[in-house]
Amino acid sequence: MSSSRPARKSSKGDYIETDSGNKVSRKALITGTPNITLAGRTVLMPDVHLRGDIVRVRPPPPTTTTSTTSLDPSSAATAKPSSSSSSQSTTAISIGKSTIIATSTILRPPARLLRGLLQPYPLKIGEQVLIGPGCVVESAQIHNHVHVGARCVLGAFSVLRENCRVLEGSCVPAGMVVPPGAVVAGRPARVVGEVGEGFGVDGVGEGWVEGGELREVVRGIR
Amino acid sequence: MAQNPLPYTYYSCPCVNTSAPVPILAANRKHSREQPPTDTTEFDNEEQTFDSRSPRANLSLVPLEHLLWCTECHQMRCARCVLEEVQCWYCPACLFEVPSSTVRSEGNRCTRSCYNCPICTSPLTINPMEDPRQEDKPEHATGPFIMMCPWCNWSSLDLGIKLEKGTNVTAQLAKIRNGRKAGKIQDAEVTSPTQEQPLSPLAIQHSSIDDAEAEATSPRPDMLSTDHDELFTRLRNFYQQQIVESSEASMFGPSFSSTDGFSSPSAISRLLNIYTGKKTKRTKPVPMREALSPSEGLHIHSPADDTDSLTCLSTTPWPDTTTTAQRALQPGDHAPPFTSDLWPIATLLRTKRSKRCRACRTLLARPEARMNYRWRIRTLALNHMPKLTLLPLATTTTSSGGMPTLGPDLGTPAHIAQRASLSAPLRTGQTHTYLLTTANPLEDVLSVTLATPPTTPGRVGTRVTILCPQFSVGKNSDVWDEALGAQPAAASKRRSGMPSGMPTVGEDGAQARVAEAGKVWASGRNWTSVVVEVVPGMLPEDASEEEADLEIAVFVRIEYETDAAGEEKAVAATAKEKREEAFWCVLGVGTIQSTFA
Repeated sequence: MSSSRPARKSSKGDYIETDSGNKVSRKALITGTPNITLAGRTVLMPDVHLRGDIVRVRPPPPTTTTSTTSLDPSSAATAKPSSSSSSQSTTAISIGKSTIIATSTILRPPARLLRGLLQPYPLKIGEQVLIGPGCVVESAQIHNHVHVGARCVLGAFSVLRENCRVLEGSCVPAGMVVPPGAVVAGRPARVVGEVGEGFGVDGVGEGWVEGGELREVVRGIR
Repeated sequence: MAQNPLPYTYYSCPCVNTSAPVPILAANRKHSREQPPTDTTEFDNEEQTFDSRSPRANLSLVPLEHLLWCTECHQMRCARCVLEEVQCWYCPACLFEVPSSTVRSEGNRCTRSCYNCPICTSPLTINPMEDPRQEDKPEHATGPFIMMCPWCNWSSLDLGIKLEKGTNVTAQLAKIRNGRKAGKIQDAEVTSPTQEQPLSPLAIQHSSIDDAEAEATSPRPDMLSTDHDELFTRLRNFYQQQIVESSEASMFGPSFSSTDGFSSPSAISRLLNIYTGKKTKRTKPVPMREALSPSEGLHIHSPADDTDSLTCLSTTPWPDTTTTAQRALQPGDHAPPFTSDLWPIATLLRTKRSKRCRACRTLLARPEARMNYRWRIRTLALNHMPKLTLLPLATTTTSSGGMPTLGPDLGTPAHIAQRASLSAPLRTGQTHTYLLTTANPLEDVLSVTLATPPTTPGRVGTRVTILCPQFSVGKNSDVWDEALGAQPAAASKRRSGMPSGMPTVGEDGAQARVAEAGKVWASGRNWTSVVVEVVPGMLPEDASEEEADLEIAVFVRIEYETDAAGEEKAVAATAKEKREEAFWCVLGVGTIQSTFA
C-alpha cells in the first residue's frame, strides 16, 4: 500500500506484513486460508482464530456431512473438482480495510441447518472495525466503523450496522440487528442508547477515537 | 457516572446555570469542611467553583462527542439545550422506515414481523415447525411457524401459538389474541387454547382458574367483558354521550373541546350565534354523571379475583412469576403475574432526530433520511472546543513526539498492564502526577488558562495543583503542512528545554525528568501537555463509593484571534476578531483507596 514506509523484515517481527499492508501475527491461528479475504492494512493479533475452513461445500455431497477443507494444499491435489468450484466464489471470512481483530478473538462463520445439512454462511466485516480482545464473533455482517468492546459474544447471524458500539462483555443474541449508531450492552444485549453525534470524529487529528479511523493504530502495531 | 472507563473528561454545558443560578453555591455550603476558594486566578473571585458532586451538576456533564456547537451563539449545546425534531421512525430490527402517519394510527411499534422475547427481550426468530434435518424439503418452508427466542429458548408454543405464515405476524397474533378473548368471553364451555396444549402444570392450573372465573360470572354476561379494550370503548362511548348532553345544555360550555370539533353543524350554528351577538340566556350545565351500568363501561371489582390470584401465586414457584420489568414491557394493561401468560412484545420503533439550538433555532444536526449513519448537517463541539485528556504520567507512552493518548484496548500484555495501572487505586497522601493534554481543533493559536480549586469540594479534600496553568496551544494546521514540515515544526515548538529526542515519556523517562512549575511538559503541532499533581485526601470512615471516586473540576478559559468572517474562509478577511470562551470540565482521575478497608 503506502510505499513510503520501508519494507519490514518479515523474518524478525511478531507480525507478517503483506504487500497490501495486512499485519498478521505469527501467533494467529488461521485455518482455511484460501477462503479468507483481507482487504489491506488489516491486523490480526496474536491468538486470533479465523475459521476459514467453515465454508459451504459445493455441490453438497448427499452422503458425507463433514465439512472438509477442500483447499488444504494436501487434499487439493486429490479433490480437484471441489477445489476448483470453491475457488470461484467461496469466501468464509472477509475483512475490510484498517480493521483490527484484537488478541484471542475467534471469528467463526455462522451456520444453520438447511435441508438436512449444516450450511455455513460467510462472515463479512467492514472497514475501520475494531473487535476487542477475547470476543467470539459469529455475525453475518459487521458494517464499517463498528467498535466491539472486550470479551463480547456476537451471536450467529447477528448484523451490526455502521457506527454502532458494543460495550464490553455484551452478548448479542443470535439474529439480532443492531441499528446504525446504537449502543448495545448486556446479556442478552439490548439497545441502551445512541452514540453521540461526534462518535468517530477526531476533531484534533491526533490519536485514536472510538469508532474513528484506525489507520494510525494499525501503523503503531508491530 | 462511570459510563466511560477511566480516565474520562466531561464538559459542563453552560445551560446548567441558565435555569437556576444559585444551587451550586447552596450545595457547596452543605459540606462542613468547605473552604472559600482561595485560588489566585481571577475567575474564582468572580464566580463560585464548580462542584461535580452537586446533584445539579450531574445534569450538565456530557462527554465531548455528545456535545453540539451552535455557530450563531458560539456556545456548546447539550441534550438539554437542543430541540429535537423527529426526522423519521424506523424499526431497529428490520430497519424499515415507518411513515409518521402509520405511527400515528398504529402506534410506535413495528407492525411487520418483529417481536421481542417477553422473558429476555432478545429478538425472536420465526421458524417453521418441521424438522430441519429433513432432506427432501422444499426450498421455501411451509407452515406452521413458531416464534422462538434464540437466547432463552422461549417459544410461542409456550402460549400455544402456531402461525400459518411466516410473514405478517402482527395480524396473525392479533387474530389469535382476539379469538381467545372472544372464546373466553362468549363461551365458557369451550376450552381455551392454553388448555389444549398443557405444557406445564401451571398452565392448566391457571386456565382452570380462568374458567372458574368465567363460570362464576357467567350469569351476568355483561359483567364478563373485563377485557380492557372493550371496557375502554364502552366508557368512551358513555363519556362522549355525556359531553354531548352537557354541551347541548350549555351554549359556550365544553362543546368546543369535545370530539365533535368545529366541523359539526351544531357547533357551527353555535359559533354563528356567538358572532351575530345574539346573546341567549346561558343555562346552567347539567353535571356529568359517572357510568352506572356495565353497558356504560362500569366494572365492579370482585374480591374473588384477588383471592384466586393469591392462591395461584402461593402455589406457583418463584421463577414462573413475572418480574416487574417483564410486566412493564407488556403492551396495554396486560400485566400477567405468571410467565406462561406473557405475550411476545412487538419491537418498539426508534427515531432519527434533527437537533436545533434552543436559543436561536439554528439547525445543529440533521441526519440523512435513509437508513444509515450519515449527517447532512452536523456542527460538533469537538471541532470548536479544545479537547482535554488526563492520563497518568507514568503510563503515558508517546511515540516519538506524538500526542499522549490512550489507544484502544487490544489485549496485549502491554495494554493489560496499562489498563491495570489506570484503574489502580489512589493512595491517600501520595503525590500522583498526571499529564493534562489540551488539543486544539481550531485553526487559530489558543491561549489557554486553566484553573482548579486547590482542594476538591467535599469531605475528602484532595489537593490538586496544575503546574503550568497558562500556556498556548498551536493551531490545527492543514494536513499538508503537517505532512510536509511536521518534524522540524514539532522540534522547534518544544519549549520544555529538553533535547528534541527526549519527549518519549516512557517508564524510564518519567523518573529521569522532573516536572517544573510554570513550564509545559511537552507540546506538539496542536497540543500542549502540562503536569497536574494530585494528592488524594483522607477518605472518611463512612465514605460512600461516590466520594471515593476522584474527580477534578477544571475551569478552562481560551482566547484566540480569528478572522472576523469566521466561517467564510473564501473571503480573505484581514480583520481579526478576538474571541474568548470559558467553560468548566470534570476530569475523572480514579478511585481513592480506603485506609479503613
